[in-house]
Parts: sequence; structure tokens; C-alpha cells
Amino acid sequence: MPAHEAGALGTEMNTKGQDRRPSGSTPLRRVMGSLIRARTPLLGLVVLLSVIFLTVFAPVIAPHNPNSQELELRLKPPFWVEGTVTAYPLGTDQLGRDILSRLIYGARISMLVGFMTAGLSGLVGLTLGLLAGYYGRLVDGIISRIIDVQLAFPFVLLALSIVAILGGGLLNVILVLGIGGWMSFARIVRADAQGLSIREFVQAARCLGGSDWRIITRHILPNVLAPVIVIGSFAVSTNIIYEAALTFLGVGVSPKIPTWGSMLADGRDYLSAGWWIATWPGLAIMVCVLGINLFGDWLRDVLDPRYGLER
Amino acid sequence: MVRYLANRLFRSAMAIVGILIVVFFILHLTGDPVRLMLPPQASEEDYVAMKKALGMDKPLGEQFLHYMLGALHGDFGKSLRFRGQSAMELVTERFPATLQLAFAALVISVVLSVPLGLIAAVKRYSIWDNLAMSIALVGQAMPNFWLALLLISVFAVKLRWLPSSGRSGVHSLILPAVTLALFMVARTTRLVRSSMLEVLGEDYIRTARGKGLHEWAVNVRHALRNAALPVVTVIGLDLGTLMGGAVVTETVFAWPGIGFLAVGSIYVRDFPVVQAVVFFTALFFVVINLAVDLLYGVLDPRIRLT
Repeated sequence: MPAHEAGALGTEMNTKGQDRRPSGSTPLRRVMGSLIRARTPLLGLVVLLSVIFLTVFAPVIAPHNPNSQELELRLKPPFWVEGTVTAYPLGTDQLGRDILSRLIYGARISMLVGFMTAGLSGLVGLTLGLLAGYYGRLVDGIISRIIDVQLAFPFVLLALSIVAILGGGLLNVILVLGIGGWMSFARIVRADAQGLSIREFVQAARCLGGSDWRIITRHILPNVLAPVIVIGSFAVSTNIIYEAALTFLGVGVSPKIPTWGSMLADGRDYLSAGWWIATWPGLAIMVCVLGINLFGDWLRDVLDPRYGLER
Repeated sequence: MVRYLANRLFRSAMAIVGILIVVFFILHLTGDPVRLMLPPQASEEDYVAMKKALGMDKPLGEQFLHYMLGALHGDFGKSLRFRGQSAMELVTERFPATLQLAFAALVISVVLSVPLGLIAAVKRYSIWDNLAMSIALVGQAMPNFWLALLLISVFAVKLRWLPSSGRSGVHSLILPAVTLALFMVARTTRLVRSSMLEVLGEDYIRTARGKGLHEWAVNVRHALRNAALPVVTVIGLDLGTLMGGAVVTETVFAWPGIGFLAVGSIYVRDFPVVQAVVFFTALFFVVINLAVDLLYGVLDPRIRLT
């Protein structure tokens, strides 16, 4: 699914608590006020910041080494189930590894992949979108056809094939997901840049002898950044799921590195004897993605003029 | 109209050519596709023999020309796993299973999301609206392979009501179809709600209410019918997306469709089949996209193609 569509239609629900009245306060205070009043995006932000905190302080917070195996403690259930071991509150997996520690370390990969891929997609999409929108004609035609072609491909299947050909590993996953998701960015930026390039301030800059580079970077780019940030937030959550899917299917990040996707793959063979192995990473992905989407919905309302606070 | 049709057909044809080019070069990403297809323990003789058999000993330009000519006839070479069988034949054999799964998911999605979106819009900001939107938000955030594992865990392993894998009658269709439908339910519910909210503010709805029509008739006969157009469009496009999106679901449930075939082929490096699946799904998406685009003007008399 294109990243920008991930939360594209839930405006009313998330903005109903927001204050749309113009006030005398500064824009930043108004934005912060709307975030606090809207509650659900605040919850999303708290989730996102918590996950980032976990990724940064994983070595300090994780109670065990995520890869250390205690075979005599294999398949120990979570804390509320009989037979649990207190030192492993979320249980252990089939090799006696601590699920809580693996979840905490797994967050590192998810966040890294999510943000890096969104950044890469954003950069490619922004550049191509600006070129297509500003120059139009042949440049636009070529870039638009490339978008058409790439959108036609089933993304998971294409990513799966490319990762299988290039070989798995974190870098290849980031490259494939990053380069594979630029189209949503490019389409929006292209449309915005097209509209902006005929506006008076751009024409004035052109009449004053401004070079194309200067017009694009100084006059058009700042005006298309807001939707890019919004799409980027949804791209982070979408790519977290894609990375987990690729790793789950065995072609993503190396199985030696604890990731949520590989934990889910491990749990697949132990649905009866160790249901918790697949439950926790799935829950972690869901909560993380939900948090980012809730925050992204609010971000769109605030940053995108089409959904702006003053609407 | 004729000009639009010609332009749209031209764009679709360009997309198909682009798809063929990408599918060819994917395999050449590492430089030597033959090494990629052979197991690591293969001898130099095996390498040379395979290179010759696949025509990869020829210059790249010639290979590309040969590939394009073959691909235009649906020939992507022979499968390495299913010895002797044409790659495209394998894809078309398994396509009905994927189509069946996609249609079942589509039906479940429409049956659930249209009433949910309708209620959410009509009872805006009520508990029903919050409930429907919460379902949509959670549905969008839930990875479908995790949902698949949860469903197998409950309905196949614990309750033993439904099979966990394979394709043997309607029973085996339920879990994979529900898994595949969930994401669409989430998206379509939000879409129905927002389309309905847009329509409910229109003058003709006020007129319908002013005539004294029953609220049910206003909402369903007047509002839903007009709100349905973007929904129908997105549902149509979803069918194309589902073909590719079914990869993970088919793999988890060992559903013998083209997604399962692709993943299995990737594992054993049967790349002619992978190329055929990728091309076939992309082609299906382009065709559906074109059909939906053309139908749009037919369905809505306000939109006349210029």
C-alpha cells in the first residue's frame, strides 16, 4: 500500500478534539496545544518516543543478552502463566532466549529500517517530484512513466525477489525498501511543485534572474516539505511492517540479529507449545505502527495546508 | 473520449514495456544470473551447460531481444524446479487459487466495511463511530502475517475448527480470506466514512430529508449510492493490489496460489518462475487499473472523459 494512504482518511476522528479557532498565541503554542488536547496523537507520540528510548538504551534496559541461550529454560511461559521463571517476565523462546530482551533489541532494527527507508524514499521522491513538477514536459513524462511502472509492481513480491537476488542483510533491506517506496513522495511533490512553479513569487524570482537550482531549492522546496514529512511518517510505519514481512519470510535481516520479524518466524513453529513467542513481537509491531499512524494523522492535520488547523 | 482512451491505452502499453524491462534486469542485478540459479556446490561444467541452455552465453543485447520476443508471447522460459514445465504455465495454473482467495477477501471486506463506515458516518462522534474507527486503526497497524498466526493458533490449533493450511474446500478458504480482508476492511471503512460525510452535507440530502423521507432511505438510497463511487474505484484497484499482497498470506497458509509459488521459487532460486509471477501480477494490476479508469466515466455521468 502506498505510504501516504496509510492514514489518509481518518481526519475527522483525530481532529475532532482539536481547537481550530484562531487565537493570539504563537503557531508553536497552538500546535502544541492541539497535540495535548487531541489526546490520541499524544498517545501515539508517547509510544513512538518510548520505542526510540528503548532503541537508544537497549543495552542498559534489556535484562539479558538477546542471543544468550539457556536450553534448560526453553519455552518458559510469560509471568502470569504457571511454570514461568521470574527472571524472564515475557517468557523464553525455543532456544531459551529472553523474549523481553529480544523485543527491546528488535525495536532497534525496526526503528532503524523504518526511519532510514523513509528518509531514502523521501529523498528520491522529493528530488524526482521536484524535477518533474518544475520542468514538466519530457522530464515529467519520463518520471511519471517510471512511477506508473513501479506502482504496478506488487511491492512485497518485488522486494522479496530483489532481496533474494542481492542477498539478505540489513543494508540490502534498507536499500530495497527505501528505493521501492519513493513514488508516493514523488507524486505529491510533483503535483505541488507544478502548482507552485506558476505562482507569482516563482515567476518574480525567475524575472529577477534566479537560476533553476535557486528557484527550486529556495522557493519551491520549502513549500513542499510539509506533505513530505507527513508521507514520511506513514512510510516509517509501513516499512516497519515490510521489513518484518521480509524477515518473517526468511529473506530479510540475518537471523542472527534479533528482529520482530524473525521472532515471529520463530514462533510460527511453536504456536501450540509456545504461543507467546509469536504473540509479543506481533503486538510490538502493532503498537509501534499504531503509535506512528496516530501521530502521523495529527501531523498531517497540522502540517498539510489541505487539512490545516485553520481549515 | 477517443483521445483519452488512446492516451490511456498508450500509457498502459508503456507501463507493460517498462515492467518487462524491469523484470529482465532484476535478474541481472548481480551481473551473473546463472551463478544465482545454481547451487553453490555446482561444478564449472554445470555452470557452462546451464549458461548455454538458458541462452545466457550470448551478449546482453541479444539476450534482451530474445527475452522480449519470448515475453510478448508469455514465454519466460522453463521452470528449474518443475522440470520442463513452462514458467508462465505454472503461473496460470495457480492463478485461479489466488483469484479465489482475493475475491473471498474482497467480499468479506465489502460486507464488513460498508456497514461499519456507514454507521460511523451517520452516527458521527458516537460510540459506534469511535468503535468503527478504532477497528480501522488497529486493522491497519496489524501485520497480516501476525494475524494469520493468531487465527491459526486459535481456530486451527486450539479449537480445531478450521484447517491451518492447504486448499481443500470452503473451510480452508476462511482463515486466509479473513487475514487478507482485514487490512482492506480497515482502509475501506475509513473511505466509506469519509465519502459518506462528504455526501451527507450536500443539498440533495437536505432536500431528501425535507421531503420527509425516512432516515434509512436518505442514508442508503441517496447518500450511500452517491458515496459509493470512490469506494467502488478503490475496491476495484484493491483487487489488483490483493494479487501481490497475497504473497505473505498464501505462504503462511500454504495456499497454492501464485504468491506461494513465487516464494517457493525464490527459496530454490527458480528465477524464470519468479519473473513470470512478477510480470503476471504487474500486468494484472495495469489491466485492472485501466478498466477502473475507463469505468469511472461510465459509472458517474458527472464525469465525462475529455
